[in-house]
Amino acid sequence: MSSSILVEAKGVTKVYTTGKVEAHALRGVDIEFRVGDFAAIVGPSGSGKTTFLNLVGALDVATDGELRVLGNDISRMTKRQRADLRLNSIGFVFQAYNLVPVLTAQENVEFVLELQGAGEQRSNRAKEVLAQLGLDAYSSRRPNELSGGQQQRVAVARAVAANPKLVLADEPTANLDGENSDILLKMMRDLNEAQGITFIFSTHDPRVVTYARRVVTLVDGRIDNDVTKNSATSSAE
Amino acid sequence: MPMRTAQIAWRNLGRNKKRTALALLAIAVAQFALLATDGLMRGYSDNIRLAITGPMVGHVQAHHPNWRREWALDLAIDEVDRIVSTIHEDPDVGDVSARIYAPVLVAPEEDAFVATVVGLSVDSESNPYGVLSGLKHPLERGKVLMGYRLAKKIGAKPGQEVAVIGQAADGSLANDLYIVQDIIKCPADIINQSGIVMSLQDAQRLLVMPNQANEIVIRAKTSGKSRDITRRLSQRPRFAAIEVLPWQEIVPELVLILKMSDYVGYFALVIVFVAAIAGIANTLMMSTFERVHEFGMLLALGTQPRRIVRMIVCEAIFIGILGVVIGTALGYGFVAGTAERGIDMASWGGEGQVEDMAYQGLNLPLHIYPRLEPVDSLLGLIAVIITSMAASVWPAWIAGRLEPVEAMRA
Repeated sequence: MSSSILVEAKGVTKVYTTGKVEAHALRGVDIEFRVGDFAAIVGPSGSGKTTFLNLVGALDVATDGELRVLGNDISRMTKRQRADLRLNSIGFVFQAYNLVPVLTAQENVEFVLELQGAGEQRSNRAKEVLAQLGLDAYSSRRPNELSGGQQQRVAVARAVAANPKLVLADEPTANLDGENSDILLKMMRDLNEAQGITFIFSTHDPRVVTYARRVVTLVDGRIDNDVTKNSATSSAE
Repeated sequence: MPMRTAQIAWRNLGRNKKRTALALLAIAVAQFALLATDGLMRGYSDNIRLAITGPMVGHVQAHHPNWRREWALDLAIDEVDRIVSTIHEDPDVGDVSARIYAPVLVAPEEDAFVATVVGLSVDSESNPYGVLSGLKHPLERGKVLMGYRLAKKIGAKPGQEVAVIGQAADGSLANDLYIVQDIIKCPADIINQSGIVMSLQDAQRLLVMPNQANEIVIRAKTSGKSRDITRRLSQRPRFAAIEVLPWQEIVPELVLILKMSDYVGYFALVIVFVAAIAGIANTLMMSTFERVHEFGMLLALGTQPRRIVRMIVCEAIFIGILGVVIGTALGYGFVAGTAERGIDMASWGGEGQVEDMAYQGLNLPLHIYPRLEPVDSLLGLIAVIITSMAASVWPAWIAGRLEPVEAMRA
């Protein structure tokens, strides 16, 4: 695997079994994501976007195929190793913000740094990232004292505070209005451009597609289209 | 434990204030009940112990070897003065009182009633915990004190002259007139019911028992020395023909009652355990099921399951400790508020219906002065911490087995 490849999927299949019923969420996905990608995975509901993101995020394990994330074969990792990979190398932004409700904005950011074992410098780092995302005035507020847009920006701050190589964002703008979506996406693109953090989104939102430099379309668990905007290529499966 | 885990756990208690308050209430009430029960039982045990080792039995007794079995007047200890002097040589001995007990008839006027002459060492018995402690005027020679129940029965009053008639130790007729100096109420029920209390010298003269006594009551300077005193005195040559026994062997039934009061404390402790488990387990279960999504998010971020488990255990311990602190404050408040005046449990039986409880010749006051010892609250604290941890096992086990993806779908 080339050193610039962060995610490499070969024939990745995911089947959910409920009783005797099998549901194929992913059917042999082959794809690579490289350092610096700002990619959106789009597709209709049930196409496998979130499933794919969960597998890349080491939250789940593929039923078949090979998935390497940051050089790690996810299917061969223990639960604890996957947790460590998530903690140290992957940032997450969820659709419903998912901040710890009893912690302030700054404490939410510090929480992940503390999990990583960061020392006293975690407070300064949290303040720095919140300021970078325009949240310095809200650092002492708890999630229920913040707007949806502000909460999602805190979630982004939490995701990038530990300098991850990869940030996965599952429908990050789903609960935001247009203005807040634009602010958030612009911030994430700035982080991508300034710090080289790779972003992969799953989304239905056309605005995300507008900002993305690469758009991967999933249909029925297969890659239907993979377009990089400055040099468009198509790979229908 | 990382600070943030404890911090989150602490703050989580405030997320559902009503539920947390209910759990706290359950634990606090249980701890309060434990301390209130402990306080009352300790107060009651004190009454029993004081009644035993105080006026009536003392810490150690010496008798003629057959006295306790036969209660015959002639089964007496000879050379009482020298025996008492020897006993006083023991470093742990406080007071020593020689006593004589003799069945007699007492006649205030024409009718005669059964009574018991109790001759005792006036000086010694006037000290704290003696039969005559608290008496306004020392008992005078030629005068007697009469038990309040006997006085009520025969209609005797202070200042009245009564005739005392009985059989002396040598078989002769014992017969004399005495002035009732006062009516007394004391923890020795035999005195309340039938006692004609006189000085040892008067009793010795009346019953022809020169320098003799049926019983020597020894009070230690500090409690807990009864067996040491018994052992030392028994080894003295002068006591070769005298039976020396600690109070525990003289009234074993009352020792059993004291132990029973401890068991009541343990029973209350079990109630604390059960209430704490129910309160905390319910709160934690509800709280865990409500936060499955949140736990999923924490796991997704890379939190190790054991940290989530620690957080839940922390919450349980915080609730437990907080509940115990509140309950302890209430319990100590109750005891502090009633310690001085005491609680008259006799009045619960109706005004004037019940006064004290008599058992084995001892009058056990039902006016209880609650008292606590530090170990009482410590027991509750330890019990609740253990039960808090036990109550958190199930929810912690559930949380620890969550898969992030499934949990976040919840």
